[in-house]
Amino acid sequence: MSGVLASEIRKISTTKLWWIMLLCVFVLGGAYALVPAFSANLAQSTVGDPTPAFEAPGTLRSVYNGGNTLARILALVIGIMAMGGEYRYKTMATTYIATPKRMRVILAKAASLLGFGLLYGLASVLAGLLVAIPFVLIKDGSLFLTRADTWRSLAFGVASIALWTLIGMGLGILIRNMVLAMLVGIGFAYVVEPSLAALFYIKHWDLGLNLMPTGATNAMLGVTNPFLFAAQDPFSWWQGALVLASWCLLPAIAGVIFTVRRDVV
Amino acid sequence: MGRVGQARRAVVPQQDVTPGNGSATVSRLPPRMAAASEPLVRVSRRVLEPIVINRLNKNFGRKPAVRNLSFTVEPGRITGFLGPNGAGKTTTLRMLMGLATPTTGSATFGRRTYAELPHPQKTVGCVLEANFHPGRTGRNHLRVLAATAGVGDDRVDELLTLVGLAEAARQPASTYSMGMRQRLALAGALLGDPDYLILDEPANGLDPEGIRWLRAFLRNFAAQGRTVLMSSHLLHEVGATADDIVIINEGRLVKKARMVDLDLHGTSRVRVSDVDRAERVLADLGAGVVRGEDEQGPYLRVSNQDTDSIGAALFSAKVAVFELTRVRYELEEQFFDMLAQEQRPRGPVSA
Repeated sequence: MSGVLASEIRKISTTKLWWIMLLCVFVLGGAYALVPAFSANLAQSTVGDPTPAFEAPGTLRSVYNGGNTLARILALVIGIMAMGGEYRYKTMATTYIATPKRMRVILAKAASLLGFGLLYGLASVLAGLLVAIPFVLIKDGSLFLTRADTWRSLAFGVASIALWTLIGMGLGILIRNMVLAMLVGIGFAYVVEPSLAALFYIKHWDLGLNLMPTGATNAMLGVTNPFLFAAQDPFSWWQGALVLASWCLLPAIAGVIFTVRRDVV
Repeated sequence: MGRVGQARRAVVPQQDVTPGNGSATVSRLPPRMAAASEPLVRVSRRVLEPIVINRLNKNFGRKPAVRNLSFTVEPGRITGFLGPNGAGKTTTLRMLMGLATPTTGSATFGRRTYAELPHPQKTVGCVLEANFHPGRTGRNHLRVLAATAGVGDDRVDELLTLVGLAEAARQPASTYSMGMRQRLALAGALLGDPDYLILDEPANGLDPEGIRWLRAFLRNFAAQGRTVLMSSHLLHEVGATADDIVIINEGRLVKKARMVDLDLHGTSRVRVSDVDRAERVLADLGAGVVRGEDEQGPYLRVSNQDTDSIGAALFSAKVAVFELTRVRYELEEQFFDMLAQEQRPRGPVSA
């Protein structure tokens, strides 16, 4: 099993994609984190919020995970490509010849992707942390790094990205055409889900919101921003984590049942 | 072709046989192979079990691709797996390698399917198609496979040298030519120092030097008691390399034979006044008769009988003989004759 895992890790580490994506997560994630940082800043100076923005732990948490919405999409893409690339470049046959027990390949791929997903998650919250520092220094706030809920938010930020990588892999297993899987994945994340979320939000259908991957991620991170269509009555963090894990497992299990056993084309 | 099977049992250097002209010429191995062949050779090996294809069937939808196919591939020999395009060769090999599931029947190494082998990569090396991630270097492609094979980077570099890719090792696979991809795929198959080598159309994309190299390599491999099963539609290529041939057409076995036995079969070409009558007469004689036609008109290809008995039989039957020639039976012609025989009912053909 360790050989299969090493092989799957080498597959990712020997192509450029992984560090280009890492760089994107870090840089673009940092840019995304500027949005909650500046908006908090703006809210404080114009509305005159009695609590200074950078003295509220919730504000800091939203900055730390500001890159999450972007990082999760890139994580999704990585996951799709790790699986779909094998079909696209017709290397699946070589892979299954090296490891004829196919479930081992799937599990090793999932484990290696989980590892890389954690790395992307780390890059994302690190970027958020770096963005927060100057604001806190200027506004004389606090990073709240002594608070447990800050660390929980950071940890779940990292974990949620790793789970999104696995959602991508699940899609890649289920849909053997990588380009199609990519269209479905990104289309769902950028078009279908926000539309549904907006609908559920307007209808105040919290369960629907909570069961969507974004809602589940928001529940994990403790995000309550209405602009992100956060539910009025969000799931607790562990419920959110369970929902997100289900979003990884459902396509993956369907894929294992319907596509993995099939003849390799 | 006219080779003697025993001559090839010697380890390096081998006899190289030029296809077609029947003359054997001694050739040296290309330097890149000679340099690296030493660490590959493991002289004492356990006796291998044959590859067993047993009543194998595969349907794609309603269309049968392989039909009730049975044959064995003996260890220590190179078996050429022949058939026209679409005959079911690749499908058979894919089932053997566990990439496709047989509809019925089995394809096994001894009694084990490929997935049941305890150390697949150390037992079987396989080149079905030379596909690589375009951004990964040749060396890294091998390192990915080395991880599952349980071998180190030194083995990777050894094989890159063996197949002549040491200089291109750190270039992405997208820059490789077809021949280089074939060689990289072969290197990947050999990482675990396997006992069996399964190759699908290995000569595709190789230049003449590469083909000569591969031929010498496979002979050396089989001479160590290991097993080679290689498919091809290039009949002369297999004829120059194989010890045994298995011919299939439309998913069915047409013929399994040893090359030496095939070479012993001379045949005669007969042109006569009455083809139908001659065919009956010769069939009654117990000869194998196949009809053919070339620019000079129809003829019969007759096997199992010498020219004397053919001539005498036709004379007694009052069939005028225009030509009676002893001909060398090239594998290529034999192959097409076998296919022709396959497609028409056996026995005397009525007029």
